[in-house]
Amino acid sequence: MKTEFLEKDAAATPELDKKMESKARAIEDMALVKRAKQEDSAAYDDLIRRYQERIYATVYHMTSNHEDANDLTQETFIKAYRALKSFKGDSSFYTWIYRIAVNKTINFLKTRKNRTHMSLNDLDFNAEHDPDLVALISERTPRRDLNLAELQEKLNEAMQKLSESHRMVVTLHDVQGLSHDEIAEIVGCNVGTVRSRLFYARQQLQGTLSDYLK
Amino acid sequence: MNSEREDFETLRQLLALKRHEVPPPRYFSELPGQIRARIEREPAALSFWARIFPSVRLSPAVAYSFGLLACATLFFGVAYSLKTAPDQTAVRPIVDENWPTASSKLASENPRVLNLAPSQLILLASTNPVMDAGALPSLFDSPQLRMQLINSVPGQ
Repeated sequence: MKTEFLEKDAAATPELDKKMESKARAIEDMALVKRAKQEDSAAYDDLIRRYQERIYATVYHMTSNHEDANDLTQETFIKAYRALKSFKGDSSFYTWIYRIAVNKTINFLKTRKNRTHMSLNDLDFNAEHDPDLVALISERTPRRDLNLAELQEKLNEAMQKLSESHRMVVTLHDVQGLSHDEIAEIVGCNVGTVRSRLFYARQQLQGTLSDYLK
Repeated sequence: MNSEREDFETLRQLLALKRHEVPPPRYFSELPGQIRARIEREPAALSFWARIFPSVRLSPAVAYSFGLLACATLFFGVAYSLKTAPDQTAVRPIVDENWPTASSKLASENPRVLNLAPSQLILLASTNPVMDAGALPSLFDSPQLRMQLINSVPGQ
């Protein structure tokens, strides 16, 4: 009986740790926001350093273009800085800044419409050693002849064929690892909508990339 | 749920590739400085009203009150116009339904009208005030024609 409890505790620990970590991060964020509101530029720089990679990645995966992602990331942080005084702390700073980035990106993509020009980033050294990718490439399938860069291009092309709302959900969940609840809060819809969009987007991706997923 | 996870397992493996796409080296170390420089260089964008009236700074409470007042005025204006009695605003018909009776009555009271030309009779029996108005002067000069006898002998 005792061991059963211990096993349950062990399983719950990583999730608990994650929740504790996010709470601690939210408290630190609020302290930095408070200082940034009092014109402390170093505090706002700290906030940028905390979230720049995640915000950039979100925008980059949505646009498949480094230059656009760079502009939109900068604009997101500038807009957040100017609106900082109106930030009441009803949601976490993390959710708030994500929301700004998501809205900016979707508005940008609507004005860009079909004028998609990809400017892809290079893959890092670890890509060749990623177990998921190694398994994918090494199998005897049509994709065995492809190198990672070609696969990257095909994947980005397939992503760009999705609608903005579906691409956003795939990016936030499958690439960035956010939970359904977090995505619902950021995007401003309910969890059911997030799940259905994710399912539909995956189905569409699977159809487009069927040659590389056999 | 598990079958769903299995269905998309290969896709999930492929999407892992996106996590390895990285921007150029030192990009993230330079980004905060670039953002800071843009914040200091670019002035905050002013709203339409702030550009028109740069010296006026309205608090949100005053702005909302003004908006509310404008809406209330519009509402009461519409309500008042709907409450007005329709017979006061309705246009009266120009042609009187009793015109035949009125004209015969006029003829019996004043026998001279029987000798009048139809156009003159219409003028007398008309209920339209425009018809009663005197003839307006012409906008153009009327030619001053007069008759003059001339001597003409046929055959000459």
